[in-house]
Amino acid sequence: MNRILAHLYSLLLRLTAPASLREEYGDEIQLVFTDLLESARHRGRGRVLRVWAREVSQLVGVVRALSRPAGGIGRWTLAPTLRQYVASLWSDLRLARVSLSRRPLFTGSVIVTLGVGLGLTGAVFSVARVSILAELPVPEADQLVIVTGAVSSPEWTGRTGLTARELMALGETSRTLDGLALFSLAGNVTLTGGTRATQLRANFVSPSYFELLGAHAMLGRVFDDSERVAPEAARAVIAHHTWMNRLGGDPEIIGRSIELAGVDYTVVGVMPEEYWGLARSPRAFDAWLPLGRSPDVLGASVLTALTSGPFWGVGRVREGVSVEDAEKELAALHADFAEHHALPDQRSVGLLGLREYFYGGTQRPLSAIALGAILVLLVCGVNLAFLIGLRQRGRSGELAVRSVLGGSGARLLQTVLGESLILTLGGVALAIGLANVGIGVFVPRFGRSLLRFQPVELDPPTILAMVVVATLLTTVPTLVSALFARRRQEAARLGGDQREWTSWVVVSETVLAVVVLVAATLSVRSLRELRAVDLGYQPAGLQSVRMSLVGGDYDGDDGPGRFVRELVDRMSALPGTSVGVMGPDMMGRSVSHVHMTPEGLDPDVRQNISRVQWISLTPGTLGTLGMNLIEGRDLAWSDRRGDPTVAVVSERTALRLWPGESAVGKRFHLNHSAEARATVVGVVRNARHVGRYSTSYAIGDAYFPFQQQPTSSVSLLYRGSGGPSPVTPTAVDAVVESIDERVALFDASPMAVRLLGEETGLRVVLALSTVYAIIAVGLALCGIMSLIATTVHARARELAVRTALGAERHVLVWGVMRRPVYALLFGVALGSATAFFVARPLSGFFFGVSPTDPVTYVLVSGLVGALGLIATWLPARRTARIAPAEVIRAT
Amino acid sequence: MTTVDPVERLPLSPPVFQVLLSLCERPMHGYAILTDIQDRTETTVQLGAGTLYAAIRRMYMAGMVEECDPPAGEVVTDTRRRYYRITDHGREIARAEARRVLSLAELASDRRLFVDPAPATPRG
Repeated sequence: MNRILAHLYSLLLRLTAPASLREEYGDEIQLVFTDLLESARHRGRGRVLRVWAREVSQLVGVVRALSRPAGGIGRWTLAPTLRQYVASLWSDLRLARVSLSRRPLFTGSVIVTLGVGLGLTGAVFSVARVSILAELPVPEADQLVIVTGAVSSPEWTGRTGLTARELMALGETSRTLDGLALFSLAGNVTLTGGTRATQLRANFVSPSYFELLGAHAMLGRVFDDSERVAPEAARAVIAHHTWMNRLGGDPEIIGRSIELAGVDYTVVGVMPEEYWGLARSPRAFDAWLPLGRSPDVLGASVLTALTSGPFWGVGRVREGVSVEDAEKELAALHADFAEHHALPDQRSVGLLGLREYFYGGTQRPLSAIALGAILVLLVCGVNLAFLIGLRQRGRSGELAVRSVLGGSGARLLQTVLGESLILTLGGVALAIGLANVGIGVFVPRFGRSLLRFQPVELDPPTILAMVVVATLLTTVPTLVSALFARRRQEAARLGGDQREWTSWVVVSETVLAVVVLVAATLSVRSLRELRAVDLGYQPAGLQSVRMSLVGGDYDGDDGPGRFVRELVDRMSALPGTSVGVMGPDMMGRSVSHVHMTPEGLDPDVRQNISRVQWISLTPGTLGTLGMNLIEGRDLAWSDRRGDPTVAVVSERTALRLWPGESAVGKRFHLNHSAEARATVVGVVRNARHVGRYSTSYAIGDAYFPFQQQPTSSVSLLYRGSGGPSPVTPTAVDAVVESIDERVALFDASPMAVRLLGEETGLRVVLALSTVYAIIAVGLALCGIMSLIATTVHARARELAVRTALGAERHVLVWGVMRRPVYALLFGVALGSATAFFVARPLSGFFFGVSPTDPVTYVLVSGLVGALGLIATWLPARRTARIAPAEVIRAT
Repeated sequence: MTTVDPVERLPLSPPVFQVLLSLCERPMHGYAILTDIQDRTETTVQLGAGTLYAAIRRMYMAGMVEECDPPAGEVVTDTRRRYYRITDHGREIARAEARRVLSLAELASDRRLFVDPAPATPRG
């Protein structure tokens, strides 16, 4: 530390002390200062810092005292009083204010550049800070992990749900986890008892779920040993908003019954208002129900099946065990389980830390956004350096006069820094305003999908950081200009100029503009590619509404089928409406699978089994969706329950299971059945039911008649026969109510709107990168134009003389443009190379377009090059208008 | 050599007087002057390096101190250290300042400045 403090003192001495004192006694002062520090070192770091501060303050005082005209030894006051110092500072600030107000263009440019760059960065970092540093709403979050399915194959990589049996087996055999609780990824139940049934989003959880998360109820209790003893007891823990909004905030709620999915649940607890559980968005869950009741809603076999897994686990890693070791152990245990139960694919187990679970999807977009903001700030920094450098060059005459009149280096520095201080304050004030506007625009539009638990605001640490950065951006160019002023004068005397310096300004501005513009272009192209993805069905004009058929009449296998048949009949009776019902949900969080084995192969050998996405449809739904049947027939109402199972399969499924031959008429084993009784009756085009962006890791799709494979969770799909549907959501609600008033509708929206949800992340990146690109390219062009204009102004006399001597004007214009144009071209090349390396790690953001896509690079290079040439040519052409006689007379 | 009357230099600033007092005893280098002042004043006066050399420069220009060789027998650890001693003129000025301070102290004593004032008695 002493060495650093000595260097700082030495720098201060060099910067501020009068040359007479410095040259005669500088070495000795430094030597004595080092001795003092060394002697203080033995008495602790605090003492060292106190000595350093005292020495620095005395040095400044001495310098100021010596800067006044010499008086007698006796009348020499050692240091000015604080009042004198403040008075001189105030005087300098007033002078700087007057000076800046006379140069509104310079002052405005610096303040706007500073405000835009810092405002943007401040807003982005306020958002990123919440994501990266926000405290998780779970105690001892570091020891908790989320256990998921993990698939990594050439066709599909990602996380999946696991079955209850898989998770229970892992929880029982793991030695690295100290407890593992299950929670469901989906679960909608109908709350009845009011004037109309409403939907509750329920989370089915193990008894140990709340205990693992360290959660306590606000009223009553959470699930505990009572649920272990009676796992199927109908008990509910409800969210605070459910208690207040749906149940009237009844203070006597504990012990009361509420009817969920036709079953009377006893409310045992109400969670605090701020409690979210493992939900990743506010109010995602309305109630927590015991895992033992999940077959009511998720299917009778949900706790025993091995096909589809609608659960994830949350576990506590034992002390002294790393997450990596736990993941290895669980993967090994799962491999044994999969081998033992002949699971069809290579799905394994993956662990997620809680921060990654909550913010994993947002950190990458936010990192890219933050990187973009830094690039824009760099462009601003280069522009500021250029503008302030020019200003200091313009002040060199004034400072020289003040120096001759007795102004010390320190006093001159104070004068110069006065302007920086005013510019900094102006820039920071504008930046705070712009950052608040940015946060106000960004967070309501995109924040809900990116941010979780904390409100975004421009907090004091961020404002402090903005002040520090603004101070650096304004003072460093000022100090550097002041330090190199003498060298510059010598260079000018020797006939040199600032061409090298200006070239580097052009290069750096161009590089940054190219990088930001490449990112923006890749985002635009990604969004276009995403929207151009063929879904395999026609989302335009398609309306969807979800409902849950659970409890009461729907407990039997025929219940949902009867309801759906009646619903389709009544909806079809509405004029000009095409109707279909699909189960499970379209674009739902949980994807259901079946295991298919072609006839003739052993259904208990893993290699023979294929995982296929299972979809149940009513007849005509394929037509409503706009899906074309390629071969065979559609599903029909005559495919009744109890008849042999029939299915329509997608092209991909047909190709994988029966390559080179027609799939129609082929039989297969369904879910390890001993006999191959199911038959393929048709082949339909491939479709993306999970979404454009997301795909399933199943090999393809299989569509079954709803009557034969009913589901409790369904989507009603309808559209107008020749255009938009004339049927309103209210009319649909009336139809449903007329069939069964206990069935609630939810998530009613056009399919196109549901698809938009997938684009959120990309749209955030696109919106921000477009803003960045406009700012970066605009600033870069302004910077280049100012630079060339300054060059023309500085070389006016030389150009006038050459014009007078007969030089051709286009030669002079090219002479001014030549170096900036070369710098521009070099900047474009270097920018493309930089963008290439920056964009490659960001490939996950872009869809359907490679981050190294040559078309993008050619487009951006051409655009920046062309704009740069125009920005160079516009001021350079003033060269052609120089009137030699006037310029030479004036100079 | 300066011809300025020592009285015209008065009053001296505290740092200058302290440096002269240190150099009255023997020639010293800068750090030794600082530590001597600190020891003598029990750290109530702590000069910084910048203050010291600004004072030395002014005193040197006024002919009050001059450079000299290290005292005999003193081990020189760093050749960059220069030694300073008080000149006759400097000694005269220091003496004049001391007299001035002393006379001030006597005046203060006559005015009973060093005696605690009697507690005020309430008027009956």
